[in-house]
Parts: sequence; C-alpha cells; structure tokens
Amino acid sequence: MEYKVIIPPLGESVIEGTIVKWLKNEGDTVKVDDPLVEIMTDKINIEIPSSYNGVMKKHLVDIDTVVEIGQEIAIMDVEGEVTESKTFDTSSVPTKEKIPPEQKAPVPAEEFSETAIHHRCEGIHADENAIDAGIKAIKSSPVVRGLAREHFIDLRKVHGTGKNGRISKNDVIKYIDARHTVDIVNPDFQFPDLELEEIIPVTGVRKVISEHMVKSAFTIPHVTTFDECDMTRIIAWRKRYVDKIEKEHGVRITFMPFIAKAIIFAAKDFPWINSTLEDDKLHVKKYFNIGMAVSRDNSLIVPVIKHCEQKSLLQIAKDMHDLADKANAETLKIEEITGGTISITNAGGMGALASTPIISKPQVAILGFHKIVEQPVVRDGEIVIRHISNFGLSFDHRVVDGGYAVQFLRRMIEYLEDPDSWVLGVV
Amino acid sequence: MKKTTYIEGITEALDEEMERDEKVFLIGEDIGIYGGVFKATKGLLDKYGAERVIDSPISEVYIAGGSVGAAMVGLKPVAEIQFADFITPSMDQIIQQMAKMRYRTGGQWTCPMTIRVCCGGDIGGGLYHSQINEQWFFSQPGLVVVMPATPYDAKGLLKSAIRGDDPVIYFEHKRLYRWIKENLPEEDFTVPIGKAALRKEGSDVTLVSYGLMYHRSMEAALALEKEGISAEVIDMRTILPWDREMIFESVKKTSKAVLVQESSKTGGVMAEISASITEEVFDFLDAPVARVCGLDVPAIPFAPPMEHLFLPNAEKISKAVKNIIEY
Repeated sequence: MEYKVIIPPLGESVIEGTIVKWLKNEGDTVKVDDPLVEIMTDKINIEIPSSYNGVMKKHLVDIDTVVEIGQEIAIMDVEGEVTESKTFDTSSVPTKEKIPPEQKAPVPAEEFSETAIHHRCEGIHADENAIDAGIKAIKSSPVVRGLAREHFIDLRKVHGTGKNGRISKNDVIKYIDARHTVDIVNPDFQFPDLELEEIIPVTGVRKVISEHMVKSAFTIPHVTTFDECDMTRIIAWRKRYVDKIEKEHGVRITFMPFIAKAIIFAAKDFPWINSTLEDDKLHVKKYFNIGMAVSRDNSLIVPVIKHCEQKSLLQIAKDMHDLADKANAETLKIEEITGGTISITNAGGMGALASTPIISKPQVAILGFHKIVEQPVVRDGEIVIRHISNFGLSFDHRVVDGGYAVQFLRRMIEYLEDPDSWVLGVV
Repeated sequence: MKKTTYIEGITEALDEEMERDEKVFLIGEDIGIYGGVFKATKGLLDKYGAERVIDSPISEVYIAGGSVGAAMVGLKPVAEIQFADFITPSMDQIIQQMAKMRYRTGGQWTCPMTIRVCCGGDIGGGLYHSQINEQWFFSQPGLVVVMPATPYDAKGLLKSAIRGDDPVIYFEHKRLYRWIKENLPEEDFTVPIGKAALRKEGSDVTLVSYGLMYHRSMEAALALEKEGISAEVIDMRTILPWDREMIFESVKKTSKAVLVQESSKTGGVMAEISASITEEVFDFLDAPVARVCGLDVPAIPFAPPMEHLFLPNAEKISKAVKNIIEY
C-alpha cells in the first residue's frame, strides 16, 4: 500500500528545514525506524525515521530543497494496511507569516521576474522612479538604458569613464558586479578593488544563524542592564572543592552551574524573566530549561539543560559538560536544543568585559557572563581587592519592565555573592 | 592538402566545375589563348577547347547579354569582366535582364550564370583599373553578390555560384590573387552563399568587412589586441544577401561596430548595414556605428600617396575603433 512520508514537527519555532541527504534511495528496503532522510533545521541536523516497513518508492523533493512541516517528501510502498495516514496536530505547529494580498509587492513583467526577485532580496536596487530619473538625467546609449532598466540601476550613481564622463556599457557591468558586495548608500562611493577582498557567501548553518539573529534582534525590543558581581566567595568555594569533585565525579565544575542556580533562586520573586512570549501570550514557566551558548568552529549552538530546578549543582555541571561535548561532536538531538526558557552566554572565557547578548526568540531574557577581574573596590570604607565580573542581562522590554529586570539581576547577584547561604541549603 | 593562391583557387574551381558539368562554359576578353589578363583561365582552352572557353570581342554588353541568353536555354555560363571599371556597358543586361529574369517570368525562366568581376585597388592601378563598384549590384534584388577574401572561399564560393540556379556577381580582388596562399583540401568542397565567416572572436567591438578589407581589419584587430582591445572580426563573404544573423548577434554582444569598405563611403554596402544595425539591434548599441571607407571622390587616384590616402588601412581602422571604444 502506498504511504506518503511527511515532515513531522521538528520542535518549537521550527517551521521548515532543508533536505540535506536522502538516506534511503528509491528502491531501497526500509524497516521501521530506519532513517529516511537528513534535514537541516535551525542549528541542527535531524534524521526522519520511517514509521513503517516497506520500500522507498519515490522521492518527491530534491536535496537542498526547503520543506515545511507537514509537507509530503516521499512515497513508500508499505507492508499491509496503513490504517490512517500518520498525521499530527498542526495547531501547535507554528506557521509561516502570511502576507495579506494587498501588501504583496507588485508583480513585475514576466521577463523581469527573476531580476525582480533578486531586486527584492538584495534591497540595494533602485526603484522605478529613480531608474527613470537616472535615464532622463544622464545622456546614455541604448544598451546602457536597457541595462539600467533590466538591473534596476539609477544611472546617476554609476561612475562613467567615457568621454566627458559618459557612462559606457562596461561601466554599468562593473557597477552591477560590484554592487553585490557593497552597500550603495553614498552616490559618490568608489568601488573597492575587489581583488583585495575575499568574498564568502553566507550559506548553510551560517545563513540559518543569520536569519534567526535578524528575527530575534528586530522583533524583540532589547534592553541590556549591567551590574557587577563580586565572585570572590564563589571562587574560594570552587577552589576548595573543584579538584575533589573532579576526582570523585569526573567533572570539573565551572561557574556556570552556580549562575544557573542563582537564576532559579532569583526568579522565584521575578517569575516573568523565565518565560516565553508567543502570539501575544506570555507563557510564564514553572520549570527552568536553561540554554547555554556553545561556540563551535564556525557556528553557534545553544543546547538546553532541562529542569535545572530539579537538579543539583553537580548534575547541572555534568549535563552542561555532556551537552558541550555533543555540540562539538555535532551529535545533539533536536530535543536537546529546543524548549529553552532562559539562556546564559559566557563571553568572559574569551576575555570580554561586557556584551549585549541577543535574546533567543521566543524567550524573554538572556544573561551575559563576563571575565572575572581582580579589582580594587571599597568595602566598609576600606579599599580591598575583589574578583569582579560584569553581568549583562538583555530582556524583552515588551513584557519585562526596566525596574523588574534590574531588580532580578541584583537579586541573582546577591545569591552568587553569598553562596554559603544556598549551597548549604539555607535558602 | 595543397598550398594554393587565391587565383589558383579560382582556376581550380573553373576547371573542376567544367569537368563536373559539361553545360559550364567560359566567356570573356583574352581568357582563351592568352589565359586571362591575370591568368585565371590559364590552360583551360587547351583542356576544354574553344567552344567552352570563348575569347569574346571587347564588348561587355555582349559578354553579359550572350551569357543571359545561353543561361536561359540551359547552359551555365561563367563570364569574366576583365576589370570592374569596365562593367558599365553590361549594366542593362545585368540589371534589366539577368537580375529580373526569374521574377518577371514568374519562375518560367531562370538565369543560372556567374559573372566573375576582377576588381579592387591597392595595386597602383589608377582610376580605371582599381574600382569595385559592388554597391551598384548590392542595391539590385534578384542578384547574388559575393566577394571572397581567402583562397578557400575563392574556390568554394565560385563553385557554389556556378552550381546555383540564379545569377551571381562574383567579385575577385586582384590584390589578393597572389598575395596569400592557403592549404586547400584535395577533395571537392563548396562555401555556402549567404553565410559570413567569424574569423576572430572578440568582446569589445565588431569589425565587419569583406574582400581585401577583411585582411586590413584583421591586421587592425591583432594590433588592437596588444593594446587590450578585443575585436571580433567578421568576413561577410556574401554581400547580397548578407548574413544578418551573424552580424546582429555579434553587435548584440559587443555593442559596438566598425564597418569597413574599400569603395567610396556614400551609398555603399556599409551604409545599408549600418542602417540595419540601428533598425534591428539599436537597444544593444553603446556607441554610434562607425564606418571606415574609401573617400568620396570620383575614383581611386593613381599617385601612390593619393591611393594610400583614399584606401582604408589597419591604422585608420584602429583609430576608428579606439574612437568608439573611448566614446
């Protein structure tokens, strides 16, 4: 019996993926749970398993195709009856934003459509008025006018090298070649010598990260608040136990688990910090799935430590360690990078003194942890040397007010500055 | 393969076509016993006899008119006009009879004949031994007008002309007769009428010419190449009907054209081609179409410096190219 393979839900806020590789070719025998296809989604590659025994009959999409959740991607011949096509509740699956018809860009003439798509994508092309004005203002040859229309060029911005500054066909071709790499804002802009630059196309994971960042950065009104944390006592505590813990439990504890714990304690009084904003509804979480940014060779990934509120410092440390290993080995599963309720990023390890991290949508806050520096500070009227780190908390100002976030951060720091109180179970 | 000159190519074509088809015969001044003033028909009288290699009186009107009559009754005349300068007496026969025969008889009569016309300057021939006058025939629908620039084309085009069913004016440039040699295949070959030859590919400008001017254009193109200007060179080969497709495609690519013609500029072949380019591919032009032509004087002067002044050459062509490249 024929069965249509569809893309199952791939995790929250994931609406599409790209076919990376077919793992079952047409004609291959397939067993239940055999991986059929590899799909790249936001930040992770995932294999889609088969729900049935049978034979792969036909691929409906090619490699590098972008597919949406619910889309049919292959036809299988399966053994016996398929009682019903394996479906799923689509109500929980986020859908692509729909553009109302009246807002659609005007459809250009057929022969220009390819260029027009290009035009819309690049965003550095002239509009119709500017093109017309350029053609009227500049004396130019028929081929130059044609190229100006075809490639959306305002001729007033093209540097002419002909007699009396006349624009030649070659000048226009050079302009077209060059504008793909530069932002033409200043009409007097001189094109750089392209041989002195290396041009790397933004593709693959980099492109996914780029799109995700743009979505987060330009939908969420970010505010970042900074505060200082005196880490002296945590350092002392860690120094005392780090070797012992490593010996007994095989994990070298860092400051991150302490920060995770401090977030949990502080959020008791400021619960909105640990929430997600989806469809005008704030989902305030009663559990803490903490995302921890891990930088890989050329990309970034945020594995999530689930239910930190139920875990000991040691367990959080172990989980962090395991997930970081998996991230580096690129073996993270989809459920290990989704479902976060708040995130931490540590730029201090590399030496940063401050940063304004970008929130991972739909979460509402991310904490940036920075380099710990020995500094002279005043305590009880005396100048003393303490280990100080700057904390930066970025929050979604749509749902979290400034005072609320500032107080949360201060409360968190108070816990970190007095670890004995809660390490010993006083809190 | 055999090293062959342009004029040897012509002689071979005549010889082979006469051997292939007994309806083919030659007629012209001094072509028999003398073997032609430039020896294009040397040896053919001995081989084919006086009935097929006819020494005519000094009468171009008779050569053309007699050939038209012979062609109408099924023969295939190949007439020779010793110098293009002297073709005018035959114009009535050529224009009014030969060119219009098929048209005015509704196809009941045809005129399958070839007139070889020895032409061209750059040989110090003076007023009456240097003209081409191809423009007179170019403006007459019903005629085919060709002018080969190489030995291969000289032979192949003449064979196509003789084998065809319609009248052909075959211009042979006397400056080329013994100037260039080319290895020609031993086996039979023809060159299609109506097809130009793309002699050199280029991206910056298209040079269009035919006959001796093809060689001058190529000289210019090779010199320009050293200066970083890439010229495409087209040898038209057939002047009427000309290869519109090749010329238009090339101009679409380069957006610039320099047209080179040995005859006087006004009313010449290149005037028509220039006009057609602006009609057909105007949208692709990046500069005015330029022409390099003979001067508008009554004929090619005799004094060598004056002849040099009159004729297009590589230097003049290069200058015209640079002018529109910088435009």
